[in-house]
Amino acid sequence: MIKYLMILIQTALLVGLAPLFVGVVRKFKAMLRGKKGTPLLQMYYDIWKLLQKGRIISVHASFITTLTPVISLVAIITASLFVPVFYVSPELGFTGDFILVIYLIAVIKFFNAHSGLDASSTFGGMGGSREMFISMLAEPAIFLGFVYIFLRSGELNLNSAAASLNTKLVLAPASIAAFFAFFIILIMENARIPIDNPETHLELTMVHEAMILEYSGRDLALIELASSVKLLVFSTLFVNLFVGGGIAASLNPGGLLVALVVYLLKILALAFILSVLEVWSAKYRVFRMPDVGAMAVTSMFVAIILLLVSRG
Amino acid sequence: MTTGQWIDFLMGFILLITVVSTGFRRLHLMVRCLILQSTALSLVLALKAYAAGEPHLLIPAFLTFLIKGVAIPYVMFRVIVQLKIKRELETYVSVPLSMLCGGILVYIAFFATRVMAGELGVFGQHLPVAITSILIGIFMMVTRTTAISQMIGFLIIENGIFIAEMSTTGMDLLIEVGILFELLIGAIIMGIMLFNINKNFNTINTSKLTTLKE
Repeated sequence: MIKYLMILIQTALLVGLAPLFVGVVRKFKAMLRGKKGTPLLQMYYDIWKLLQKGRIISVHASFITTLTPVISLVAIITASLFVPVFYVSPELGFTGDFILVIYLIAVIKFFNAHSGLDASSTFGGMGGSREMFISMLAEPAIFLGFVYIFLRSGELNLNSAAASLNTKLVLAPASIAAFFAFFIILIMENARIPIDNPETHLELTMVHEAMILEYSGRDLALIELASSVKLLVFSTLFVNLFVGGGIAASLNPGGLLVALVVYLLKILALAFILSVLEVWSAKYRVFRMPDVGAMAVTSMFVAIILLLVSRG
Repeated sequence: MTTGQWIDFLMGFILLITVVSTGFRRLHLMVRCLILQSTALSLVLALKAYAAGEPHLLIPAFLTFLIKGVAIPYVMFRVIVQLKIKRELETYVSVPLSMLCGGILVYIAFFATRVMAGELGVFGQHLPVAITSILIGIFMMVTRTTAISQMIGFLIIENGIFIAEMSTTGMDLLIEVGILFELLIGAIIMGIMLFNINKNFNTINTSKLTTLKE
């Protein structure tokens, strides 16, 4: 009973902390550029403001435009139910729930791309096609990542995998390659620089922003929240599965508190790395995306080969 | 972490750098990959010297770092600046395909050494990394058109031979010093020849050097 309560607490933590995570990344970026930056809670204020505004919907739009924001938020909250944050228990989750998480994220991408096309604006179509192109390049790497997790931890269940990877050495040779590959996947899936600029105002350089260009008001609030939760879900998967350690497996409160602090520190370090990368590089041209995707797939492939060899 | 685990970690890092460098097209990025690979190699040799208690192995380690990690890349950077070329414009194989081929070469190397897994020594498990380096160096030499990248491929082959020697037999100081100085002189000669080729033909694209007349 209390384990299900822990799932709810972890999901609420993911959904509640997601705008703060985006705020922390923006604050680090501003600090690195020598500016003061927006307040940390700015994204919460933005979402609150947008929730109170009215919507303007194009006359050419169909039901998909109004359906997409709701589906995005619901799908990502459902996906975050399966993600281990700071407490794992092998009874939670089911075999192969990683595939369910990936497919829920794919549902979000599908509906976003369609809603980009829905308003009959050219930018939406361009953003949708680029988004599909980029995620098509990242998909093989994600599934190879799933194979890697299974080979490394011996479990098909996200919670048990995190529990088993908790004690394994993170600096083994195979995990360097997998760390590198999943980091690239995180950037490709969540529209960060160097794949896509989340703060650009130039439509020709947008990918994700172009798909949601026509949204306003309540719809935009839901979509922004869904994007930030998606980033936090990927970050949590990254720090718990590819850089393991510090997860509590039992229910004692002291252990849980330590696990929560360790998780927050790991996420903070990841936010810093993301912001350094964003300040350091520029957005790549779209025809360089296959190169980045190939790098992710090859690194994950190398990681799997190294694992297979070291197991004998 | 024990020394053995650090050596395994560095070997995994070397493997990753070698495989990923098949996809790079900018010339100073490839030279930096070479620097990383050579530095990691010299660190591995130094750790081996520490673990096996043979301090005389520190000399080849230091020399490797000095020549392959500092001197040869310095020569190459100077050549790149003098020739004013930044990136490789045409290659025979596109970037994703060459990275994929790098991955397949890794698989071939590991598959081929699987059968001798039991007979190698303590560090014999690094032999597949050596064979991967050699194969990827050969791949780079074959599929690139700029003479500098072909030289970098050659140096990656030499690194692979170095790893193979390190992982199977003992290291002979005289042979090591001989090979390293030969590589240094080779790099300098390559720099001079590239400068001359560029002066005469105005290009260092080797695919254009096969015509007899202009």
